[in-house]
Amino acid sequence: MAMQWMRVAALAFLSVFATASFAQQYPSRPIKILVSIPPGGAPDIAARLIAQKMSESVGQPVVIDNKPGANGNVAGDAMAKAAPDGYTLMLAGDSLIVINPHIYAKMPFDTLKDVAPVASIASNQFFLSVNPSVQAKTLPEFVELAKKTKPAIPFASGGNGSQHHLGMEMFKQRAGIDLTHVPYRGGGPAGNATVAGETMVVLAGASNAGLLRAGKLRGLATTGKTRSPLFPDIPTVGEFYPGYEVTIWLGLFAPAGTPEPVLARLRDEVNKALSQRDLAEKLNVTGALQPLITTPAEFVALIRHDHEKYGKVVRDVGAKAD
Amino acid sequence: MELLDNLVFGFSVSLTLQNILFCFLGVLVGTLIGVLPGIGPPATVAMLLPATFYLSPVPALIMLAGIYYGAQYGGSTTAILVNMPGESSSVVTCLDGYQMARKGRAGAALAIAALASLFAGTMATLLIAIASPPLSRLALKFLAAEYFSLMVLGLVGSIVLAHGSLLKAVAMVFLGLLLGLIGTDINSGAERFTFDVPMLGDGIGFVVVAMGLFGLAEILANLEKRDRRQIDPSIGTLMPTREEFRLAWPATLRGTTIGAILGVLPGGGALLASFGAYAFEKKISRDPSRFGKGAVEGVAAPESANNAGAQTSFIPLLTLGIPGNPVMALMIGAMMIQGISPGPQVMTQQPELFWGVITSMWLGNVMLVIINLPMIGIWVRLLKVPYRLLFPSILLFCAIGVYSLNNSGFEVGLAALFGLMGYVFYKLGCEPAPLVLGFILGPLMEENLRRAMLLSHGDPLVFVQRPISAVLLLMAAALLLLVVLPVFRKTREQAFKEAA
Amino acid sequence: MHRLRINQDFVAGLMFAGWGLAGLWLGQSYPAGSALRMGPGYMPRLLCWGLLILGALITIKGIIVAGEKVERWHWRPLLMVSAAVLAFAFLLEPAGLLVATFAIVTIGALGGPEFRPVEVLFLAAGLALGAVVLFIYGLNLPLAIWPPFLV
Repeated sequence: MAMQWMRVAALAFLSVFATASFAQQYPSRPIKILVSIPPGGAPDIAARLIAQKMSESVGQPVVIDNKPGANGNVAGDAMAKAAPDGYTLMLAGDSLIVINPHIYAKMPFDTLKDVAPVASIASNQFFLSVNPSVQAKTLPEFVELAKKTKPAIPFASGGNGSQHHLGMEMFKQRAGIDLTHVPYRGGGPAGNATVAGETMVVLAGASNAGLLRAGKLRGLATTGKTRSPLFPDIPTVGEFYPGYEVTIWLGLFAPAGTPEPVLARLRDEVNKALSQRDLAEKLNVTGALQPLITTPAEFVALIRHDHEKYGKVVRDVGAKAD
Repeated sequence: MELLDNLVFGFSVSLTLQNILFCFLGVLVGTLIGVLPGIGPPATVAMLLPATFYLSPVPALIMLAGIYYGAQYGGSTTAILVNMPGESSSVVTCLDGYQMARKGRAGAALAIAALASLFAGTMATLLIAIASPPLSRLALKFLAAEYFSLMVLGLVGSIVLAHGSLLKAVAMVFLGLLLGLIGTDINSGAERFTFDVPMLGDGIGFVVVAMGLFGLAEILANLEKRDRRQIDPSIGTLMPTREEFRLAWPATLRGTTIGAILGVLPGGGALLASFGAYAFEKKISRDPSRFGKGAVEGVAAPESANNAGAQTSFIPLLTLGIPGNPVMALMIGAMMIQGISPGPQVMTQQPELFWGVITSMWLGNVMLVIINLPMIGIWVRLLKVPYRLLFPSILLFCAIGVYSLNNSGFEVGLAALFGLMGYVFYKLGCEPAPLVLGFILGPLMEENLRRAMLLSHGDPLVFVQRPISAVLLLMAAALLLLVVLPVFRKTREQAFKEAA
Repeated sequence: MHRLRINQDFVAGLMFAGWGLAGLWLGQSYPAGSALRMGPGYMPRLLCWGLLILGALITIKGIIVAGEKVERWHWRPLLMVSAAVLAFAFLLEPAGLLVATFAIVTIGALGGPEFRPVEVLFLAAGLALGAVVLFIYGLNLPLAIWPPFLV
């Protein structure tokens, strides 16, 4: 309770100043970027890389504040309720904004109304890969195999309602096959289980790239619009099932109500940082991430599109976390 | 001699002036931060991770590894001195280490911990050099069924931890299991016992529970004893006596073995190492009643196990790219930021990194002892600070430590709640260690049980058909018999005496 | 001979049973599934029944076997230490590290056997300074030093 009142007081206090002095002076003190996962994972590293570039160019420290929990809802809630002054931002993956609202019965905040998109940062795609002992060498062969195999082949995902899970469900629908869902704690463990032969198929992202490169997993397809530059020999799922695409992305967000000049300044800084080559290269290693530079309109359209897409899958599958 | 070549090559990397310096820096900073109550290895590594961004990969990883085992050792120091485990593996160090400190043997306990760690570290480094490839295959043999059986064995072992009532220990394990279920159910995605609080969505952190049940409850217990100081302020000799050495040495050997093997298993393996080693010592001891009252073996075994396990947990990371625990996950992040994608190819494509880091671990362990032996005198003198000044300071560091895990004030409040619970347990003669073990193992056990059943299409025979799993279950059954039989006899005798 | 004894076991048994009951009540909506296809409610129910039974056994043992008495409760340390930690939890983010440190140290010290105001103030000041240097400048924890609404 005390915290709530303090927040309200601070908010009221700040809003008096907000309009007057912010636009010219911003930023006049350190900027905080909340990150929805613990230190070390790809989004965290991306946030730290961006923060470093930004603090060099705006002349104020940009601090990373990791607030993991509830698939990003903890960080999202903290950001949505912070003062909309451009000093509290959040770097989050798409799942918080476009999937959580569908799977959580009680969302602490509205991911569309309470959150102002600042800029997209990077995108990535998933790999659909199998244990090397699986007979299928190509995606069509795998679909044939899956149709014949009873009981259904087990597939590993990064958790119930995760993008890995939903991406695979979309693929199952398109290919008309059945696979048994076995959830793990994240894409890494899911990939490991497939290497060990506990599950036979896995749909996961960068955490599996090392396993693919080492031949511990056989990549059948990637889920992006175009082939991954890291693995140009692996076709996309879309080449067989046109229109299928699962692209995951990271974005920078601010509380709704943040003044437009502040958002524009931040967007400029992010885009400036993203167009530097060394940053692009580092993002690539951290998680096979490709810088994703969009106009504000494009970014908003992307959010709307994915929000609808996942909403439909979740309804079809009946995934829920309440 | 490929092994020798590899080690020589490794030392040629780790013994450069620059790398020695970073190793030393890592170990020193790790110890100093890790020694603050409430701040264990994961928090320390997370806080210091950004500091390595500007280094090149080899020194960066050498320094991080140094921070890791430096913090691990520092965590044992607080476990011994003030009964505050900074992470899961030092929970058991509290049991006898703190009791030794209360008897004025804090110096000896710290020295034993340092020396046992050095021995274990040396052995584990050799083991990594010799047996990384076969051990990494062992890690792949452990699937859901094996993990479940290992967890069962761990839970039965946790009952051995208790030195009081067996029934109450079992009940505490159950309560720990139940508390461990709080949060999102991994298999169905449903949230359990979260009261719609998003902060509870991922469950309660281990450090929150340990800080409350051990740290805060200990402070409360001490405060009600007024000025009757808990700890014998006479320092005595800092060095262990000949008798203590005689007891500690074989325990260290056994602890190292148990720790080195369990450390290889990703997820839960390393957690069990120190518990397992402690339970084993207690079981084979001629006089198990000494445990929990300051038995030297009760410090040497878990300390060596936890250090050996800490080192061998690098095996799945470096050979398979599988992080075995949260600190290893941070290491993956550190590697990625350096432009290295962790995985099996690291050993062949970047041998200087692989062997350099491994040999630096041995180096770091030596430095750890060199740094810490002289510091023991300072740590022990800390206990001479009047408790009225010491305990508010501990409270503060404890609270900051808990906060820094997830930058969450909510978790600090939760720790206060667990402190209250710990006080109730203390009043009712219930020991918290079995609860903590149940709390750690519970979610893993359920997750693997349900996964194994899902994969076997509901056939429970999978647990006995797979050989490793069957052996583990048999061991659990045998241990259970060993624990339960003598107690039944004793309770009956007691009951008869009552009636008479 | 058989009068009720309020000893540790008796109370502890009731406590465990209470946890079991609370768990069953709170978890009644979780689908249990079957042993072969367990739902999210399966393990909680199993554990809660286990706690109930164990609790009952421990209580019975407390009644028939004379155990250790429950010692007197000391409310002052309990209240003050809990309040100190809670104050820190609530103050840290809205009011900054300095205020939170003063709160936890002074309120905590009130729970001690003797309270020396001047000494405690010096201790709090010293610890606050140390904490700021160590955690904010040294380790870069994302915390405010001064109350954010004042700067």
